[in-house]
Amino acid sequence: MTDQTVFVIDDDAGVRDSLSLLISLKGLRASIFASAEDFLAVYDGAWRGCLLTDLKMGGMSGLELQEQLRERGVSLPVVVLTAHGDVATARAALKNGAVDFLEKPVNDELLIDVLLNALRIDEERHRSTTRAQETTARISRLTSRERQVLDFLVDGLSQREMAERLTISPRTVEVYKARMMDKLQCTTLAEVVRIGSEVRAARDALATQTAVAAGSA
Amino acid sequence: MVAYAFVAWLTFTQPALKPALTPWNPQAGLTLAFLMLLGMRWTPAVVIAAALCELLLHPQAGSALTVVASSLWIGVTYAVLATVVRNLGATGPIRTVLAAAKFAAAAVIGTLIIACGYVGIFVASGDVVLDDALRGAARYWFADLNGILMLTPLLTYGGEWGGSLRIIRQRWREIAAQFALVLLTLVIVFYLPAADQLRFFYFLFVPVIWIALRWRLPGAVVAVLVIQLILIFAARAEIHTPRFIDLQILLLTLSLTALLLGAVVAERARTEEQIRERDAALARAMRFAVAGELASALTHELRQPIAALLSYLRATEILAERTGGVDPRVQETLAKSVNEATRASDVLQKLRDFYRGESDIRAPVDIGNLCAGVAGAFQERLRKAQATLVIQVDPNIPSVQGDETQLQIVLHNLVGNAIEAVDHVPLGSRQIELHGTSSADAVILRVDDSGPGVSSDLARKLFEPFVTSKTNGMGLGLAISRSLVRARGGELSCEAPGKLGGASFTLRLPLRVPSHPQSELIGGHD
Repeated sequence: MTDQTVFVIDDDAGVRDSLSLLISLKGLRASIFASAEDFLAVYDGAWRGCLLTDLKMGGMSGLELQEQLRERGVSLPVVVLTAHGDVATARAALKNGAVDFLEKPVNDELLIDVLLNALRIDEERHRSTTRAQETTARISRLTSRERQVLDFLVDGLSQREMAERLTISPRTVEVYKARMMDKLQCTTLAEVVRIGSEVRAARDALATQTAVAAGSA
Repeated sequence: MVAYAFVAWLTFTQPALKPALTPWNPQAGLTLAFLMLLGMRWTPAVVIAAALCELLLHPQAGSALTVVASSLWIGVTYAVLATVVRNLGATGPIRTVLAAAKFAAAAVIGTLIIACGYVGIFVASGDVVLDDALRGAARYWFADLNGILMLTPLLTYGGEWGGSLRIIRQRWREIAAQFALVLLTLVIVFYLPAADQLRFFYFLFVPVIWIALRWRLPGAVVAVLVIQLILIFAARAEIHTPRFIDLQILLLTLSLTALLLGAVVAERARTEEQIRERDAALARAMRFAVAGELASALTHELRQPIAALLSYLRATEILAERTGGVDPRVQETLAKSVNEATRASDVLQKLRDFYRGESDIRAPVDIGNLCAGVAGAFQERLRKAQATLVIQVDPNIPSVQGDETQLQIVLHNLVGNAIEAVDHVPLGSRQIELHGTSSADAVILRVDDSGPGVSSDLARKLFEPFVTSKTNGMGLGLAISRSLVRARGGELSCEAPGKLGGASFTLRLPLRVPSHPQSELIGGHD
């Protein structure tokens, strides 16, 4: 959690300065931006942490910033802080994917709780992304035969059935399976099946997303 | 009340069928007013009073049967006339021209029938010869009509005499002058040797018109009554009046003039009063809305520094704690400061909630009337700006639920802005259009103007408070309008350029108002 930062975006200098001071005194790292545009201009994909943004700002509004982040595939959790709280804006912000909605002036303990929660969400998102990336990297090292064996394993086929389908001897299937498990760094069959299912689920989800995107376009 | 009618008859009755100097029958007016005020069930009292008059005042007039028949005729016909006048809606104080006209028409026809019937009874019984009958009926008719036109409106005026008395006390000089003018005219008409009787009667219209214009209906009728009374006095003093029926007709014209003119003035005064009241209500609502928007904007602007202040204070508290060895009073003082800053923020919240929570009237608002009303209010400004306002509202447009005053404010703002906008373009091309259409679920009003339009830069924040392109504007009108429209679930948006080349504002009012409008506040539920 050490490299996580709270990115404070507010067009009021006093507000962003005091917030960053308070956040840093509470032991979190804070970084300030005077506008959403400023943040987007220097944003780096490797940044970790969460956003604490005002809704109503001179240029791009908090809601527009959320849209931009989603378009760019930025997964940083967003906490919205506003001086003009009304139900409609709050609903819009939360619908847009904000993890929380706070009203100015905000109680510092509540603020820190909300920020810690946002950072935890970021940590989880990050961990799952990393794991997914690792798995993808390992899968990519498999040969097509090994990948077929993995697929059959997820389908619950026996070694003999696999041999019949691939028209090879059960012994060869045994060799492919051993190599595949070695490359995936798995020791148990259960682990292999889990990774295989995850990969398949991710692939299906991607296919659905593409279909939806195509449909909406 | 029996006594009242009885005395009235006794006091005023004159031999109706004989050449008399009295050109009017006040008892007719009294009887009608009496029945209008108290209702049909008092008809027997009228019959008895009529019979007593006949017997006591001119017992030689006819047989007992004739007396009974004529009294019954009078009682029944007056009761019918009173009911007719009531059903025409002309009862109570006459305030509109229509009511005055209806009343006059009913009186003309009613008294004609009464006169014919009354004289007919005497002709049938042989008490009056047929040759005299026509002339007698005409006189009787005019006399009754005159009495009704003069007395009934006055007697049914009711309830507002206190105000009239106060006016008389305040403006007694003017009233005295008017009275003097009436007297002077009467002297000219009847006493001046050169005045060949009635030739100068028309002079009497001058004071009557003056009085009607100043004091409306009651004043005008009182003036005619005064003239009438003086005439009776003059008649008693043996002033020669050769053409009796002429005099009657002249007096009748005078009464009708007073009645109608008084009603016209009263109606116009009341319309003006209504316009003034509506303008005042609009101004009040507008002031309230301005205060609300100001409170809202102020809350937003002040919350930023208060938020910063609170964060700094908390940071200082943490720093003091860490440094250690600081005077304990510092911590205490910092805690107090945090409380005060929080209090300031709460006050702002309450201020805004106060203005936002107000007014949630839901009544059907007729869009056609709304547009016509707003257009009417701008006639003068449109003329000055030499701009044309075209209104096109679908005649089948449904009503919407809402607070009419608030919707007036919104339309007022839009049309007012449009007039100011077209001021920037040359004469001849200053056009404004107001369209009203409806979809399945909403009414859509659009205001287009041929002004310079709104720059895209300004359009982005046009509806925010304190944003304006005018040199003398506060920039609150559109902010208020949008708040008001959104409060009832509608939307107000701007397009530029619009149909006429300038700005185009679209007001969308849903037919069904959501039970929880969008602008409900989070803070209000803490």
